[in-house]
Amino acid sequence: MSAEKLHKKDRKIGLEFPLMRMALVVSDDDSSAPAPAVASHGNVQVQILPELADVEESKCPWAMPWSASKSGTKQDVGEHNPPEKGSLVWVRVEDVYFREVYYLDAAPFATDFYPYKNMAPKITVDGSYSPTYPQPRFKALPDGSVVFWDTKNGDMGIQHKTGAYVYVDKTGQATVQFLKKLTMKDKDGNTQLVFDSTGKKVTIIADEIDLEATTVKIKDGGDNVSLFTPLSKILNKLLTHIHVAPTGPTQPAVDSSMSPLSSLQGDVNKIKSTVATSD
Amino acid sequence: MTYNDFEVGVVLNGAAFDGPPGGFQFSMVDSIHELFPRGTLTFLDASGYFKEGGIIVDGFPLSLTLGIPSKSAQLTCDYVSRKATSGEAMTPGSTTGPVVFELQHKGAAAQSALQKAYQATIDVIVKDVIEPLGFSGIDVVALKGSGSWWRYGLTEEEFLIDVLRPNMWSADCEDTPFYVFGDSAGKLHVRSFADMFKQSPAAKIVLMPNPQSNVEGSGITYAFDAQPFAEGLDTLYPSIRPDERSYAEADLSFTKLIDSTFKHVGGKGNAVPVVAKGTPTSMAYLRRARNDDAEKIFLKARTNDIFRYGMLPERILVTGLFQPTALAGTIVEVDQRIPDTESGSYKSGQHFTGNWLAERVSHTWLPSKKYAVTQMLLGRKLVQYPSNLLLADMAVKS
Repeated sequence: MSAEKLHKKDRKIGLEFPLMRMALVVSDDDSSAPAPAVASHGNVQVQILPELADVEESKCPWAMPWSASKSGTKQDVGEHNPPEKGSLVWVRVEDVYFREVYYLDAAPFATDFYPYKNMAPKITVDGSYSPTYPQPRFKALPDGSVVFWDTKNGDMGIQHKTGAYVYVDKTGQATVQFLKKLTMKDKDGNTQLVFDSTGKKVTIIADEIDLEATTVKIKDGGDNVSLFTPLSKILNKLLTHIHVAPTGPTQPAVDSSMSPLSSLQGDVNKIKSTVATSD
Repeated sequence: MTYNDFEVGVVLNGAAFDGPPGGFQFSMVDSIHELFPRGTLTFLDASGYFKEGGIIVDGFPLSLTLGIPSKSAQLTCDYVSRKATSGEAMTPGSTTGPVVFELQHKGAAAQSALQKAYQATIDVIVKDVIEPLGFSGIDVVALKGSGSWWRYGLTEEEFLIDVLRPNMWSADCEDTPFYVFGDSAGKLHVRSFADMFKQSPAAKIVLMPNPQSNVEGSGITYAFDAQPFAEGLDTLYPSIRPDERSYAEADLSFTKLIDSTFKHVGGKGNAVPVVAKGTPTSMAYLRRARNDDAEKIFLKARTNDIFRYGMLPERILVTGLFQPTALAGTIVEVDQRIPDTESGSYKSGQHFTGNWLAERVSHTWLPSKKYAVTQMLLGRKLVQYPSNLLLADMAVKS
């Protein structure tokens, strides 16, 4: 005969154990949880309903995760994802002493708490995506961020609470929206590229920059101009330059083609041939 | 009122019952397994007046007194009616006739189902919890282990008996279970089995081989029965050997399962032994580390608690003249007198003589006899047989 049966034989308490109940998570920080909880092991403090509805939240028991993960139980496999404070969870109370309390990995269904109605309209990735029930599937995080995936069309993305997002549409086009800065670093942590929306500049930190493009445009005061025009003007000015000397203005002493500057003409022509003018 | 050298009293909702002592019969019963002492009362409502006054309503308060003034020994306990039934009417069509009450200590009706959390040693919590129950006193030793306890809509009895009691452990409990019970004097006791057995005898009885013989000493004739008795026996688990504190039928396969499980995954298992031999009881224990000192104590206490019905494997039932000092949880000294063939007188026997624990005691006022009797279910932890078994040999040979 098991010990449990021995204890049940004359038990006064009419409840059947294990006891399945809904519970309100009143704390998800178990770093200083007292015994019988083991601190920093994914416990959450639970107000078990209705049995502990009148008990002060700070004095409620701590519930352990029912399972480490669906990946199995191993020290370096699994997940740390305790339910958030304020959420409802299923708990399973094993014993009359409330010494063995577990929260299950699924939350109880409550109509008013189902998140689609509230959260789906907010998944827009800046107007690029239109949720249509029952799409998309998503996981809404407590801070307002959403990870979503449309299992019908293939759209998917991460929408941060600030409005920043990474979005890949159904055609594969990807869009990244950010606030203030988008920084790219190499594996050693060195910044190589910074898009700074606040300062309206892009910083490239590199020993060499190669622009392999058929057209390079520079936006200058509102108009797009080519590189050729300003460079050509500068070169022509230099080639036709008349220097004022004590003996009078110099004439082009020699054919401008004989000037050392004339060697730059080829480079300018090369730019001209490869850069489209727009002015 | 004093009657035939006995002090007998019945108080109904604060008013003394003014009928003759021969007009009512009652019993006061306590047990180490019951928080609230019980009782029964039967009296004749000759006019129907009491029924008309609402006496048969559940929860009706009553107080019983039984004592021996000459010995300054008196038991008084406050009860409430848990059930009242009417006997056959004296006159057909009238409300006259006997009323039979089943009584329980008044604390049973003063309970509340509360939701509350406690953080303290259990003895401190017990004192707080029993406050509304109206016991006349409490004796509880300092208990070890300060922990969190939750009263999840439980009554005082549910919380004390099912949640706190199994987790009680004291430095001198010798790893024996605890009992929480009220006695017929209205006092609450929180005591370990070892603690109870260390007491000096509260009463002494002499068992004579021939009840009709002139008993030495007390002059009391006792009825005696050494048969297995109803109370406790159905909860005495044959698979437990209390002397060795182990299961005769240990779940060895389960132990092996645990060992192999944690060997396999290389983690730290917590195969908490529930008995000395290391038999775990629940898979649940594997999931939580048990490094906290208080939690270790509680677990040890729950281990001990398994044996609370197995601590008294030998029981005798003794009925004799009123013994007001014999209450549940007290020690009763038994002197078994057997014929001494050499002296032609009596001598103390080897088997039943000794100290016994009163597991359940009932004191009964018998109006027909005009005296009170006490019936004691006595038990002890180890069955003692004469070492030379001479008596057994004689019995076999004869």
